[in-house]
Amino acid sequence: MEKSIETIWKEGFIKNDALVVPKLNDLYNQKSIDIITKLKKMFKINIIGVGVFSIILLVMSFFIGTPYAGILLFLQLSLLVFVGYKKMKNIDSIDKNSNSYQYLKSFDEWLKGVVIVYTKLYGVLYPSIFITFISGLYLSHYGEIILTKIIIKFPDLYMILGVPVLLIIPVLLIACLSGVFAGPIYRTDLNLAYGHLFKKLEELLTDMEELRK
Amino acid sequence: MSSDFYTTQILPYAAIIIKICRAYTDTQEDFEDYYQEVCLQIWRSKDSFKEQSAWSTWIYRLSLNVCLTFLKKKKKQNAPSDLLPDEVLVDSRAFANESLNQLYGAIRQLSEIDRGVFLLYLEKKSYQEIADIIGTNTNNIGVRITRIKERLNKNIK
Repeated sequence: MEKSIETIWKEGFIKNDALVVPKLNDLYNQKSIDIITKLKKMFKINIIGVGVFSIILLVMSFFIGTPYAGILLFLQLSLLVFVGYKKMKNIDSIDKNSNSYQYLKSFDEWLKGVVIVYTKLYGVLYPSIFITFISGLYLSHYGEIILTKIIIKFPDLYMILGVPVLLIIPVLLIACLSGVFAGPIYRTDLNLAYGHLFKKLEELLTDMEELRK
Repeated sequence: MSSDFYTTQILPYAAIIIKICRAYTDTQEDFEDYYQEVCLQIWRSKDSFKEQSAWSTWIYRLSLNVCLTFLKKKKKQNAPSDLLPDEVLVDSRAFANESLNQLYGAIRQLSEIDRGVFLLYLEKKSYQEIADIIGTNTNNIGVRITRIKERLNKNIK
């Protein structure tokens, strides 16, 4: 007589060998590799993106008649690409043969180091990029047209070296604020792009620390 | 995950997790991944257990949820052309008992929800418990089980 499904099920699990519990071993390794690979890939894409953007800006600057501003922006953005590239190279020096906790911890420290370096860098670059960009627009053909219209409308406008003070003040103010708040601005930007992965990394490290207790 | 929590709160219920994970995986490697993920999720979600149901019922529910989520992710990752035919993927060495292997093979052919329903039935859960765990009403559970049994009997033969 053929066995019923219920009997097959019941008898199948009578012997203990049917329920051998797998070892909890490789999950954290897999997760560590996965998360670091994703972050590295995103960093790389980001660096390439900034590089491509700087080239586009350079080319565009020649078209709108502000090649100097374009070259300056290109150099500033190239500095970001260069620092990013150097930092990416440093990841390879992390010992992959160490255990997953050590590897993840080293990566986390590397990441924190990168954030510190970039925060300092942006403290200078945010204002300088902003000023260069506005100067570029101001000196372009379009800037000239707009300035002429403003001067015609407000002939009594106070100017310093041919630039309206009403333009200088807000530009300098925004530039100063972007330098002062470079840290929070950069961290917000970072969280928007990498926030979910940073959270995963943090969770994984907390899990592993708990495991090691 | 602290080893104490694993030993006292998960290991005694490992059979539940194993039985469910086996039904949703085709290879030993996947099975071990799913098992570990379920354990990790139990530990992570332990604070959300409100004691409104038995711990074992909660483990059933969580195991099914993790397996279904994992399966969805896997389907997204693997384009249909990347998948090998089922007979190649199925790990025939999962159990020493050949009838049980056959039964699991047939269960794996069911829809994702039907697998969960039938596993709970085989675990002697009441219709009410099955409905609670799966998140449906009791009305069609009996009919559904009869239909699944007919299909399994046909596939096993």
